[in-house]
Amino acid sequence: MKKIILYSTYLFILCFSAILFTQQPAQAQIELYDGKLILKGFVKEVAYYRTSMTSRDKYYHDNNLAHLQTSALLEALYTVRDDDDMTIRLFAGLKGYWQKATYFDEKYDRSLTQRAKKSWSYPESFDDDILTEAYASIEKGPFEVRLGKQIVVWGSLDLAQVTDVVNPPDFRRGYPGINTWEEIKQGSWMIRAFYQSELPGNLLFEVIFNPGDYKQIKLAHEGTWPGTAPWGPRFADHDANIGIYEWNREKWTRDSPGWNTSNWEAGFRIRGFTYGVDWTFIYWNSIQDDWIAVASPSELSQFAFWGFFPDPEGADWSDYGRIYDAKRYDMIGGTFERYCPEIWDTVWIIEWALDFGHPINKGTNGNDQAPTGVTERNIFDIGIKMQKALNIPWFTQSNIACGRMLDFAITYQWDKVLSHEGRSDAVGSRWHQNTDSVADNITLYFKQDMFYNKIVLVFIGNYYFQIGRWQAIPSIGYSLPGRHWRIEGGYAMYGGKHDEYINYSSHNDAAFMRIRYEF
Amino acid sequence: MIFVKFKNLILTVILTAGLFVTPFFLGAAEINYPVASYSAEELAKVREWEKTWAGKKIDKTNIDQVAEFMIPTLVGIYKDPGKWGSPPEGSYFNIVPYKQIIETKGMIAATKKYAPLVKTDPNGKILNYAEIAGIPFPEPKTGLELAYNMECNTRGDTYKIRWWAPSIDPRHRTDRPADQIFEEMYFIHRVDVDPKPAILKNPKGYHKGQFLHFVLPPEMYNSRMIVMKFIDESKDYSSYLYYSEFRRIKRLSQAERTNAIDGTDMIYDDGNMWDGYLSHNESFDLKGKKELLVARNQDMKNVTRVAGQAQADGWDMERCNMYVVEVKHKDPNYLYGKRVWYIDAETYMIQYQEMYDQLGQYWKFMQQPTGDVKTANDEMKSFSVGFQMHDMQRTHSGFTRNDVQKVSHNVKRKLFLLSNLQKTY
Repeated sequence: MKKIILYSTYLFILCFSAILFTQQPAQAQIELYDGKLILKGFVKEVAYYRTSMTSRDKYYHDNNLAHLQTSALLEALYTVRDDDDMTIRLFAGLKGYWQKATYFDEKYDRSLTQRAKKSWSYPESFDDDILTEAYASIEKGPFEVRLGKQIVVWGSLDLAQVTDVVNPPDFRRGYPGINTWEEIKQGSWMIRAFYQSELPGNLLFEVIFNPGDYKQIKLAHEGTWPGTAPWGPRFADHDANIGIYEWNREKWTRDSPGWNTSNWEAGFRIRGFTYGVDWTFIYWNSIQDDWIAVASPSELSQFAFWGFFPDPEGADWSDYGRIYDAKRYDMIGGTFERYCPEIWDTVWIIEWALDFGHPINKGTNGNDQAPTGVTERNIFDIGIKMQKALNIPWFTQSNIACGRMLDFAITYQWDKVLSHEGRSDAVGSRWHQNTDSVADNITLYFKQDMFYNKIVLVFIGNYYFQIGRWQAIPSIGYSLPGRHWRIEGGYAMYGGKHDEYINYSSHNDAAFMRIRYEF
Repeated sequence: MIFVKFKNLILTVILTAGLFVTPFFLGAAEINYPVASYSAEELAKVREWEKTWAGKKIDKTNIDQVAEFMIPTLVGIYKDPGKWGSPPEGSYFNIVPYKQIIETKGMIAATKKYAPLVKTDPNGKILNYAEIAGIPFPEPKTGLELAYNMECNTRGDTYKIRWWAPSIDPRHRTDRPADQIFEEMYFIHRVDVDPKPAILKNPKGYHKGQFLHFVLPPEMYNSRMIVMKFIDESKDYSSYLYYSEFRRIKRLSQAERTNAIDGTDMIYDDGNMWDGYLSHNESFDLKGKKELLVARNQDMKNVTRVAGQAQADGWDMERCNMYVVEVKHKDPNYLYGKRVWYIDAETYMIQYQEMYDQLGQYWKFMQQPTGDVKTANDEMKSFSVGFQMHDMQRTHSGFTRNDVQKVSHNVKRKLFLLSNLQKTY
């Protein structure tokens, strides 16, 4: 009865707000003080409904609604001065979210600790979870300086993160495509400066210095959506609401280096245009965004033991010393982008990176779940993308496509751990097969705007060669009349072979829906 | 004594020099610009007609009486308001007296200075195109000359406008809004803004640069686009889009010039009625002149519409002579089988355009009203103040209200650099 009331109230509020707000002739941005202050943002509701659950999954759920989140973003830009001599602007972004799936699923709590539930359900830290960016931008002549918390996107590929290394992602509540970069990327406090030269090739110089604001990649919590399925000790004790994954996840979060001047990060990027090629060259010196196990094998075994068999005495993470750490490495990289009319009117993008001394674990038989030590390896990563706007004679000018060509792109990414010592190196990457120095994948993307862009059909699919797994996500979006509302729905499918070390359920297929109000 | 001795020789030299020099001065004096749309005799007839019609409101009930001065497609739209999303009483326009448009001082001076210097090959192609400015052919005789005149109207050399441009579905009476800020600057053919006639420091050989900043639709908010056209017409346009949702800069291929622009009926080549290389067209057939009712001194405050209304109300139409030019593209697979331009005989702006598909069937109709705007030089310049278009095959339309913010102002060249794409706003 309680759930029926909850569902009814929820649906009523959603429908009422849609009817109420679609009738308002409002602007898509709010301009105040003669346009000096601009406010912009959105409110969004995202739901995932799983279409396939194992009997084990069902123990932790009493229905298939795995994710139901309200989130919002508000951005404000204030122009202090804008004239021929100088431009000064202040920018700030705030986000918030509220995960409600647990209200509709009484068994959800079986798989979540209170800590994980809080972290997943609503913001806990103003700096980490609410403030996306906050900086001052000062432009004078060819110089521009931005001071404050910022999100930087380097690189030209859409989803592959080859040179996009500055801000680590936060995957606790979704992935790119469903969530915006403002929701996924963690802003860092930094100084960012540009110099637009008049040298040949219009060279643009960019320098970044982060004085020590270390941010770690945030992975989804165990048992949440999207995240790893509940596992670990639950095989022996279903009612233990923490598994081995969450036990470790909490530990590496606690061991994260945090704010310290010794965690400085710095780098530069040069951008130019030469012989028809847009290119960049990048250097980045940083603490790794992920982690490696640094404790001794015996300490690790002891720590892991209590992850598998929760301590009845209530021992927790503070009883252990440093298990995980993040080490410094540096990298060079770059991008090349060229329009090639001679190759079927395509645009080609190549993005590459070479990490020097990237820390990785060693493990028996390459098992990164049981590390035996630490080493450093150079890692080479390259992505090649071909994109084309396809004119399909019988379709593009039809009453469906209304003149819009099909956007098509195919990307191949190849990642190689150099000097790899075979079975002793534990690469520790999600897409690497253990003991294999190479991980590669291919991504297919297309987008077709239809009915004058009122409807947008998107498909994205990946195949990971080493682990033999794939995902395919077709989706369709609809822009409601007016300026504010968009609805998207789709179906996420996963498949391929099983890997003993990767908890990647083939029962994760889910239908999803997103409704967004933008202002 | 010496003078007497060489008298005949000196006189011969003076006379010979005179023979060479005189036509130059006479030629300069013969440049007749600006040229009015009507001769005095023609204008008298127009004024007589205006005694009956000026001030009249035209709608579906009386449009047949002025249909001889209208493109039949437009008449059809006014006569079928239900199909085109108009209110039950239909759309209307007003007839106003013809008023000659005088170009800016800079345009007049440049035309008088450079028109005599225009060099062409036997096919009519201008050989010194990057060195001239103003209207190259003040008294055009061919379709190609008119096309050059159209392209050399640089709209004040620089301008910044904000488009309020819904994409209209008249059948469902809905609008899909677009709000974009657009800036354009010419690197050559400059007549109103220094340096004239060209920016000398132009190593990449740009013809013009465009910068587009999206406000609406919401999914494109703060996306930015740079498009560069080159003097060398063998070079493809250089186009970059910064897609703010993904914070990525995307390079666009030349093939996308015929892609429909974000939910509209326009393609990139349709910008300002024509935005492409003239040399990509096979032919420009001048079909003669036609008197049409045209909104060419339009105050956009008089123009109103409701959501879903394809043809707005309140255009102030005046009789004026239009050159009619039929344009065919060199590429047999080009999107349009042909375009028909209706070019204003005073401003050389394309006021109306009709497009046919590859099968030769009528497809699209475009209208580009013009009106006076004040430039940074304190002059009035006839400028595009709005836009209407109708896809006759799909019954879909577009409307634009141009908020012209600046004309002939100083534009920093860094506006067209990639560093300007990834900005805060």
